Amino acid sequence: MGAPKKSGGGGRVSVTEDSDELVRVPLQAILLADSFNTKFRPITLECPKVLLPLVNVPMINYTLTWLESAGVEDVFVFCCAHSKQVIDYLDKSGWLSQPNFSVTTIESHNSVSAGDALRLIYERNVIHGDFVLISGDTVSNMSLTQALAEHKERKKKDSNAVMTMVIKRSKTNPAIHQSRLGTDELFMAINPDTKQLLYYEERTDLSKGIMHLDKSFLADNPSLTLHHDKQVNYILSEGIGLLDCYIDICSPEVLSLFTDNFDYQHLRRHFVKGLLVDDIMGYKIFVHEIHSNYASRIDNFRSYDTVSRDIIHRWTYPMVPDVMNYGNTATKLERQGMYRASEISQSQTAVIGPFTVLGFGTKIGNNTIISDSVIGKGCKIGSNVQIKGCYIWDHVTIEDGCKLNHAIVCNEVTLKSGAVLEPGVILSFKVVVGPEFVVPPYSYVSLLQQPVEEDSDEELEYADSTSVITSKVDKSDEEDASEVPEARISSVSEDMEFIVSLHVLFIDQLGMGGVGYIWQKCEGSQEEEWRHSVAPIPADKISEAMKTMEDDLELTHDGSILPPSGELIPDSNDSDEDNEDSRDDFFEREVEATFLRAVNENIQEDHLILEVNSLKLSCNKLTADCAGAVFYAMMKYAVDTPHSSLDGLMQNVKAVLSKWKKALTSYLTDIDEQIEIILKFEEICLESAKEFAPLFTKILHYMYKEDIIEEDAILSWEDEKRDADEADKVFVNKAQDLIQWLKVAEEEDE
Amino acid sequence: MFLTLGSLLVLMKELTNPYRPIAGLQYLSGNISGSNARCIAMLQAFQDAIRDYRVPPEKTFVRDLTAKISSYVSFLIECRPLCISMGNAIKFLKTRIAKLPLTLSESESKASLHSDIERFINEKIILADKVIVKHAVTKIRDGDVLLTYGLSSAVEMILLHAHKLGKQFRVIIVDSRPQLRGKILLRRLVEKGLSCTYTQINALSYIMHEVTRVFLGASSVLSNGTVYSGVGTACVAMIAHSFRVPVLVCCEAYKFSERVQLDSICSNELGDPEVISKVLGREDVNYLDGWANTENLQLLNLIYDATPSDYISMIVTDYGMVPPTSVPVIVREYRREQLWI
Repeated sequence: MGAPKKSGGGGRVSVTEDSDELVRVPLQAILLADSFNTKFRPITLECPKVLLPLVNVPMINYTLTWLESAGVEDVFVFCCAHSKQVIDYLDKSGWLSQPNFSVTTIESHNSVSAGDALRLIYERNVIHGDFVLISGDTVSNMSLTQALAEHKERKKKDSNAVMTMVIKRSKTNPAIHQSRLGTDELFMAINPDTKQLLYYEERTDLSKGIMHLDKSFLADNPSLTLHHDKQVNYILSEGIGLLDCYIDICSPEVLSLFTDNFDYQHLRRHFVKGLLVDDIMGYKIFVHEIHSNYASRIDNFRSYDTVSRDIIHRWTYPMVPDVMNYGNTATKLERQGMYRASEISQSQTAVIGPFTVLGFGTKIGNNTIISDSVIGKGCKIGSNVQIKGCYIWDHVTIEDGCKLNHAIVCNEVTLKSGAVLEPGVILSFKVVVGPEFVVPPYSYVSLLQQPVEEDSDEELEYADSTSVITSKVDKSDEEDASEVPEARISSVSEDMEFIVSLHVLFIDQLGMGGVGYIWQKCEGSQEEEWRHSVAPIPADKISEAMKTMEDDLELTHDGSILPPSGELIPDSNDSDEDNEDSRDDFFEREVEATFLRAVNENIQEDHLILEVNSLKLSCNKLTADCAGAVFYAMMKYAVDTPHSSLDGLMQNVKAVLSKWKKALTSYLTDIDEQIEIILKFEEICLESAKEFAPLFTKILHYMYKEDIIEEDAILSWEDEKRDADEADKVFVNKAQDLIQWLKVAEEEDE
Repeated sequence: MFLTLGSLLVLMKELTNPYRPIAGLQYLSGNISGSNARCIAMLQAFQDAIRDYRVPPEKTFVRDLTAKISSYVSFLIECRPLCISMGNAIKFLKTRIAKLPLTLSESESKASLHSDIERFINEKIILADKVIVKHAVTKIRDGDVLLTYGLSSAVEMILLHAHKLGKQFRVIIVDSRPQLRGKILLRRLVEKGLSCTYTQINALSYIMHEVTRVFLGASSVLSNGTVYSGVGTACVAMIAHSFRVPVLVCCEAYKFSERVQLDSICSNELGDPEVISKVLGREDVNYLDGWANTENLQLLNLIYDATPSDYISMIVTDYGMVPPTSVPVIVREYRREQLWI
């Protein structure tokens, strides 16, 4: 394990820029390495929340890295549940031995809340100045400089300004924004001028949009009394859509306040609301709003999912897998948010979709499909497995044909072939799911049985943790289902002997050879289960939430008024004409098609000319080319028109030429173009329509008579051909009569 | 948009001397953008103007109204050069006025013009978009990665409709400074739950590898198949072409023009050079501050560019899906039809 990577020293803030202060006080932080709630059970029964891997890195690393980069020099990590594991980890990963960044652990076994923790820290008397209060499950990349400066400024003016909370405006759909992080709906009232926090209320009741404000609350704020309704509206609209980032900048008084009010337990529910209600002491709380930076706390499984995604989508830059690797091997970023560590063996037929992280040494079998998931170190994934939106931790074995959908799978879990995890499933450490077994949606599965009594949600997750983690699983024994549970459970925890007696039930719960308990859901948690789970929010819940909101942005799409009409012209053009040949062909084809359309639809000559002209421009052609192409099209049409004999053909030609004379002559302004036509005609007679060969002279004569071709053109054509091969002179010879006649006529004129 | 429309009307009514420079006109320039929106706003303003119009004594309705409309148009041009679609709409309106039978009374003429304009908006713009959506959606398949540039109302409708039909596809929105209108599209698509990637035009050659189809909007399609559209479109089409990615241009037929243009320099609109010298939200990028004093510096902020027809595989219009070489057919068909209205 290498030492954590240092982020650039540029972010380091010198706290003591104030010249007034003589003694330099390093910026301190208190990191609560315990959530003091049970939202991450059953996983947190065996592993502290701050060590849960978030995109393959234990969460606490994100918080510590941020504190370090934000200029904090002194961090006190308060460990409570599984404190040994936390301390061991910090020691092993090198956080405890950083230069310029001191991490001190404070261990306690009898604290049950954040309040207790802060009281204990106060007793230790280690905090000397302003400090940052944060829990070990916060991911952020914000800069503290401005918030700190604001806090200090306020403190100087008003010693009662004891705390600055960091909040962020949530820009997502207001109907579901709180569902994004699975947190409760939050109402905050903030004075827009001073940024003072006036009201703070968390509530889960979504149906009631009404908030009761005390009359006196308004009366106490002189700026609000003037514009009663308007101001209240303003403040409320400010409040909705704000996220509490759970990053607080506190003055030392906060600690003593906790000690004075020994009943303060919860930071927000008791402390913040307590201060806001208490008007005797007059302490004030302010907020600092961040706009572009990232800050979020992982409070439940849904926010675990959301924050993981945000990390993969790089909103938390520089805290992204390919920059921060915390002792993992280097991870490479590929197209479409794919992160790959080294030594991955992946079958050629496996499809690894977008936004997926693959950990070191993972093996993936044939035809396996993985998308939007995080796979940890050393996982073995078999063939034909489907994994979508899952968080699979280290050393997990997934056998062939499993289907995993939006689940969290902890370390060393085994899924036998054909097992299915429905959305929202949590499999805690070392669980074994039997073959073909379908784990129902939203179920929690653990080797430990569900604690029978749940006193309150403040209950401490304290267990003799070391024995849990060091308990060994012998993989080879897995087949032997009847014996394993007993053996394993007894090693898991001495305290839970009663489980053994229930081991028959234990086996049945997860199919053949399955190991683990499916936890019973307590009453009333049905509502919570979708809100707090990793599974995507069910569509009906979203529509429910949407229904309560007025959505007037709906774009109307009736679209059924016109019947679908076909394409005007079949897709003849691939815009791929790179070489001149195909370009020529293309032009001629187009002109011919245009001409035929003109004939069939009886279009005016002017229009035909317009179209051919535009074709000429788009294909970059000369007038001569147009003349040739139009003439070709006419002759083609004449041949294609049914006729019985040569005379019939001649009649056709005459008809076409007389009808469309104008179209042709508009391109025959110059003698060169006329020669071009004759040459073209020769070509036609030789190649595409040999029927014309006997009529060559006749048609030529006809064109002369109709003034399509002048005599000069015919004579220069003959002139041009004089030196050519005999083969090329076939038609010149044929037309010899005409040419002679022309020459004679010319002489006579003279 | 309403505000601008309103102010446009007010200004039009107050307009006694069309060449009188009016302060604050430049505000009009950016508020309504996109040629469809501009055209509809203009036509609606004309509707109101015609409604409020009274024939001065000793003048004929047709003649005087035509002159009046011309003055409004020159006023509009003063605010911002017209786009081609607006030119076509004006041409339509003038034809309608000229063809009014002299026997009609003033109120009848007004009613007839009103309904003509209404019909133009409905048939040529709104309905046309619906038909375009219907055609273009058939070209979106499951698993497609569609790239679009900037903001085009037609493309937006296509993408949303395809999403509504349940097609599985991904959208890449390419954008460019200084307008960054792609962000508007991005926001609307993301709100509807489409999976989007947003990038700047500099990253085009990287992202083009993934793309299976390019959908572009257009300000106009010229008679030689050249697509006249927001600056940057040509670049996108060119890169797509070199990656062998089909480029589909979505454009209502009323925007087609019989003009022929080979490059984008000879007829274009120049935007405010100030906006390209400043970077939004980046005060530290100030190298060009005070550039106006520099004599040997010229900032070029082109609004449109011309995409040669070579780079366009297909134009989706309300008359169907056609290759760019068939534009003259549409122009002809369309003009004939317009005479019938």
